[in-house]
Amino acid sequence: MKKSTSYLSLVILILVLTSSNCLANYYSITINGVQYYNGQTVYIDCTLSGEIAFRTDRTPIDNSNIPGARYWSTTGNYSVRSALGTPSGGGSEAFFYLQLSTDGSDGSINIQFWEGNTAITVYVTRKPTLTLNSTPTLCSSGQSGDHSATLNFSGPTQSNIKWQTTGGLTVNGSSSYTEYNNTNSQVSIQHNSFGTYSVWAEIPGCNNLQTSPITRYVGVPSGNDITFTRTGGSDPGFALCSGQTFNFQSSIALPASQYSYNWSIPQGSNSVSYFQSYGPNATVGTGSAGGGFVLQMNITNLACNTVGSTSRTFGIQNCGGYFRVAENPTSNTLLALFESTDDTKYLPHTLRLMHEKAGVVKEVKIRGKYSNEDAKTGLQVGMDVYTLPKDIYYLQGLYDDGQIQSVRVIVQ
Amino acid sequence: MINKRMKKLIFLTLFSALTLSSWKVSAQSKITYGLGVKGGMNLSRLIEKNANNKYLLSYLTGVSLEQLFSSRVSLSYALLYSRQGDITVFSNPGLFNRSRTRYNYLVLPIELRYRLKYYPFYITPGFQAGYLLYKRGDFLPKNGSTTYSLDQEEKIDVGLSLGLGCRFSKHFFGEAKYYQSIKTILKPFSAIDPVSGAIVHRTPPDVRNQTLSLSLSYYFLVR
Repeated sequence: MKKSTSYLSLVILILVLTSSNCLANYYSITINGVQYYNGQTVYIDCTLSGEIAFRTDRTPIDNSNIPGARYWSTTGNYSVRSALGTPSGGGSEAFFYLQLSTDGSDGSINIQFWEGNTAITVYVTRKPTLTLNSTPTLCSSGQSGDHSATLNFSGPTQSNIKWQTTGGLTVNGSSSYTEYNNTNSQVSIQHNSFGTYSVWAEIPGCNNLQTSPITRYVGVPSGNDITFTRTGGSDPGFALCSGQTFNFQSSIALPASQYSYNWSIPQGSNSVSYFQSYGPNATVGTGSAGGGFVLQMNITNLACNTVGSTSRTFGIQNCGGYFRVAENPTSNTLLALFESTDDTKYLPHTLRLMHEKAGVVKEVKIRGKYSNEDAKTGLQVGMDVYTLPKDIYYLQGLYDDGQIQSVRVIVQ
Repeated sequence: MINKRMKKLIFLTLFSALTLSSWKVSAQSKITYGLGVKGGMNLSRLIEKNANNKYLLSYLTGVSLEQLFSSRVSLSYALLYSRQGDITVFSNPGLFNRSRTRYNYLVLPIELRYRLKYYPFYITPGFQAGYLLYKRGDFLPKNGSTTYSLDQEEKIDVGLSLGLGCRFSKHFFGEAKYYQSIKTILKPFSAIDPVSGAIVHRTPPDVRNQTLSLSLSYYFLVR
């Protein structure tokens, strides 16, 4: 009795799973005899042009009860027209012609069906895709391995697969190699030092339509191959202003599946007020003027467990240019007192007074109005506020590197 | 079977209306006519198999003629511009998560208004015929144009209605009404498969209009 109950439960479970799967794939469109369900991609030979016919369907196919389309639309350079035409006797639409794109671009067909809350999107592409089948790990210098690629392609027989390398890699002893008139290609890639190889396909019969290239990194980069630069502003070079925060990022975005980053400050950590890193990004806060530090980025090739590194040395100087507000609260004039600085480029280019609701209520241009000599002695910039309503405002200095210094002020 | 029953009901409604009208006229009794305007809001949707379509809020407006036979019985005829349709929320949202259908009909409802004995309310059973003037469909959120065939729907939609009305004064009559088509609004399907060349016939899906309307009539000519 127990056994039969178990069998029954199993049968019910299978039925439920099967039926839910059928429901999920219920509606479809049929192109060239193949059913495509929601979210699937149909590859259409890029040598074809004009229109191809398709029809709406469901699983299981029932020719006496073809599901009708309520609405349809396309994206990309595709269009769909009803095959019924006029006069047709009308009725719910089920037969269509797809006007193919002429530029090989991607698109989609979207159809909403009658009798249900179902709409499906089937993606259309004229571009075949290339897959890398064999990618042996190359860790030591001089090591080589056979790599192969296959074109997922159901179109013209003429297609070329192209390989190209950069840095210390070669493909079949050269920096590039082309496999003509084939949908498969096998090459030998040799690793001498860090570099990349890329592979893509080109179809001469479709105006040399190219597939999206696949690029892989091999080896581990050193200081000659990779560095890091500032983000969120121009790179400062050697000199960093004191009391500021700088974001740095690796110059090459290496894939996290192959490489890991490790940032450190091997020298001068006393001159750093803040340090944090995450993947290819690091943030450093500079301490007092006169100090300096070394920022180092280590990269580990996870498959080979080999490490490469690159570093930069920075000095810290007093750039000045920041301000404080005298007479706060005030009812007449806000006075911004600037630190002395050697160059007006360290001053904000604009001072503006902001109100939380009203936005910018006053603005004063600083750049061009003062000389370096004025900046050295310490500038004083006034802003009349006696006409403004009594409230809380923010006096903001806008700097060239995108920073904003904001001071809360009260007008009373 | 249902269609036969519906036909019988339509026939009975029309028959009662005509009988009442002719009997009153022949009896030379006092028949009062009211000519007025009518307007209100529509909550409409399409009733489909396996679908739970959402209501579309729109409006109806037009002219109405009332033929009062007594203080309790009257017939109402109207010619209305009625905006209908529905919102379909997709069970598998992708590029789009819903669609909006808009049908604009010219409708001719004929209602019997019968006042309940002890209440100030009228029950208003009726028949309605509509002529499809305009159709539009949109995938939402909008992304390019949505296309559809203007040949899918029948031009004529017929159905039955039942409402509850209230005469606020000599001039004003308010009503809440439910309407439903008595047959599918879609045409039969018949076409040649462009791939196989086979002729394909099928009965149309059962899709019907359903409206819930709140309207107010103002009769400015009463005699």
